[in-house]
Amino acid sequence: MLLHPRVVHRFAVATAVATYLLILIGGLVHGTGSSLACPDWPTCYGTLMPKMEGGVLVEHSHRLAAGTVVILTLALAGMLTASKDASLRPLRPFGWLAVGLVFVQALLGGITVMLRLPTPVSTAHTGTSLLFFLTVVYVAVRSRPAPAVAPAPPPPAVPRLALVTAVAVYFQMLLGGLVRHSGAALACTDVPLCRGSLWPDAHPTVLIQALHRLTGVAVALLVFASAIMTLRRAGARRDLKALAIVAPVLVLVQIALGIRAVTSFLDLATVEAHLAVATALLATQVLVVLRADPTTVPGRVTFEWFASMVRLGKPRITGMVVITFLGGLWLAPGPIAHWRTIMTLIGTALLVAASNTLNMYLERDADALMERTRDRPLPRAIVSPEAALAFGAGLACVGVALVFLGSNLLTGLLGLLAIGGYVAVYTPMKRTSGAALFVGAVPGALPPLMGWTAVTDRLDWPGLALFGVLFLWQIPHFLAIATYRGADYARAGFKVLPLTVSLRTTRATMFVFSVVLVAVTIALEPLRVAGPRYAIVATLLGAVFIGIAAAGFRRAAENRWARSLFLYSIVYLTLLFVALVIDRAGTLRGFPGPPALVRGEQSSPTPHAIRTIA
Amino acid sequence: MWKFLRAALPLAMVALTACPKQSTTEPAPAAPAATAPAAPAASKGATGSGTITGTVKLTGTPPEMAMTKRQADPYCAKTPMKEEEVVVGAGGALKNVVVRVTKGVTGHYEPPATSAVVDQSACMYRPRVQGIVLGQPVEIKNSDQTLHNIHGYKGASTLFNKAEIPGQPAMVQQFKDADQIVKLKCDVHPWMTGYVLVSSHPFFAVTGDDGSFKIPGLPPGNYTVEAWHERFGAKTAEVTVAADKPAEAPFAFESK
Repeated sequence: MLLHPRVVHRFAVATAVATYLLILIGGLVHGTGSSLACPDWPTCYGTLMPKMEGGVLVEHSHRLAAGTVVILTLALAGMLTASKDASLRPLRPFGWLAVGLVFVQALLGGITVMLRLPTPVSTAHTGTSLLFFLTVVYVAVRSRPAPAVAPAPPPPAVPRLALVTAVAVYFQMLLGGLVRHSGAALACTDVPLCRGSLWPDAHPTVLIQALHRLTGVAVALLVFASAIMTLRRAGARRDLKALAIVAPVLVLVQIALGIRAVTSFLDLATVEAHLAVATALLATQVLVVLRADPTTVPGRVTFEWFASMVRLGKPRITGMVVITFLGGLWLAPGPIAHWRTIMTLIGTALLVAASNTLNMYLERDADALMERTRDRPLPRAIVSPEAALAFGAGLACVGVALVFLGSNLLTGLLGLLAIGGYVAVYTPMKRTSGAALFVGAVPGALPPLMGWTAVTDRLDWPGLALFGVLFLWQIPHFLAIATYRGADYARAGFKVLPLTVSLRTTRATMFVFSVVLVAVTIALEPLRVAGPRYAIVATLLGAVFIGIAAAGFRRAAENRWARSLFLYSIVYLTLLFVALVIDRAGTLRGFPGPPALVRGEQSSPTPHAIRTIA
Repeated sequence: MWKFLRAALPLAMVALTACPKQSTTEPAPAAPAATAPAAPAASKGATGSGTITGTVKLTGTPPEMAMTKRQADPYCAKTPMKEEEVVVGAGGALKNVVVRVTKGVTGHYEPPATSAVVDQSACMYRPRVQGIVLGQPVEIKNSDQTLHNIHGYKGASTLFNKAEIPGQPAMVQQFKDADQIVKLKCDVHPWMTGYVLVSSHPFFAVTGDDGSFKIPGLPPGNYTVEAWHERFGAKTAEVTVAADKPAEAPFAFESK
């Protein structure tokens, strides 16, 4: 009787409700300034039953409530494990995942008290609390006994957009936790602008607040889009439509509460409601995902699953792109703080990994048809499409936040352009036009420019030339791949250039771009990015590149030629960058190098500067 | 199976009771006063020539005070300062400890005619800790060229929350309950913390740089004296005061 699925389901629902209340009490702890009301942990003044007054009442109630939820979670996991019902079996790991999370969460709570509230730990305490809540909600929804007549599921686009929205809401809440715990809640007291600007020229703490506002608008738009999609396509599913009506209402209330939180100087009830509504909003999106797609599972979570998640980001390509980013950063004139370098570097890496993951998600059907890609995690069904989508969206959220907070507005916008261009423009365009290559080369060439602008905070000719080198280089490089992999691409339905125009035109394109590429690499010397020694190396390397590209005209279309051009293009780029970096290092040590622009000195306002973004 | 749902109910109760009545302005009932709050018509409180003196020390290694993280506000950033939660002088002298008589005083005491002042200066409260007699107004002024909000807490519940723009005349705050220590916070500058003891009588003191305090004007008798520090909590001592010579009440807190 106790292990009947219906009982387990209700128990899971009760645990989810209890968790929701626990999150709200947790919010009160900070809101009332009670975080350190008990100086010790897990006991309060050495006892489990301290005098419950003032801050101690709030802090200790949170601990007692948390203890209750721990017991409920253990009981839930135990019930799932003991039940012989086949429908509950797949939920066992999630029961124990919840147990793991609740203990990690308790530990984080203890650590943050004992270390006197370091921001990262307190923020992680927020993030884990929501992960735990979502796990319990997952168990609660999935343990629901199947109705006799299963309702027709809506088209997959409904749960998928809701999934992306849920991920965005989650990270927006995490950012909200950071706002709170970093003391940024009143970093600007004007609304909607922050210190008179959308993106003020101010300390990072202020930018955390500004970012939370801007991403709030983005998340609101996502919620509206998700609601419209659900209302239009959910057919007869009243449950989904109800959620789709509730969510936008919650968003509007949430924005009003956020504004009031600032104008009222953190009125407790307002701040608390801001947390309550956010958590409810997260729940609505997750409920749409789980109820609209009754079969979704993240895949069998094994070691291979985790390894595959990493593979989705293409770590090697990400690593290479990050090196080009560092190249741009190293070559740019001027100083940059270490923490900025590290944050922007990680952010850029995450954006690249997110682009790769979302690209694999969108091309999972085509990847299955190509020899080169059929071993990827999605075609092999090691990872479910939903898990990949959520993972990619999450990487993107964190990446965007890190780049914006770590560098500057310009670099952040370039990062958005890179991931947006790659995922939203290039990836779909690949199937319709051979010209997609020229679009795809833009995001590929942005990271070195991002490295450059992270230092200079402006678009100038030297930075653009660096972008140009990477952009131009990709054209012959990828056309070479497309030439010798043409059959493979054709099978997957991709319109690569050698398939849409003649091979002769393709070779001509490769030649022309090679010539322009070499011209731009040499132009880095007059642009004062590098010195004359670099120019000599660039000329020699470039002559070979042009020579190989020109050889394509002499011979019949041959895969060998394409392969050799492909291989040389990699060698070429590597050596070119090595030359650039060594040249710059030489300059730093005082050897003759490019004049004027020595590291540590601000670049003079040259007529080259196209525009400056303050 | 409803019993499972019932498990969630106590949590709900906790959630409700834990939520302080933030917006109501009625005075919170029954301050945890050791002295029964005498009715205003009660007899005039006695004074005398007895004195309690002493020093408060901190044993052990004092905790390191970090720099306040004030870079986000360009005005505050001009004067970098350390946290002042624990200020220790020579020989472990502990500053900013509230020492007050909690038992042994009865009757009604008139507040001083002058108001107490809390100045917001260089994004700190000056003084950080002080005491007033119930009825004595507190002037909270803003000497900074930046906006502050003054958020007063009693325990975990908000007493008031007002903003002061630069150049605004000082706001005057009255307190309704005696025998409480009101905490002042600025939500714009989270490191800003201050304390005001609201006492029903004038027998209190706050330790200075040398950790010493002096509570004069007591009639002879037996008293309970409490020393309270924002980080280290409270300690009490029983003191017998004679008319002719000062009674000693040393306190020591331990730094863990």
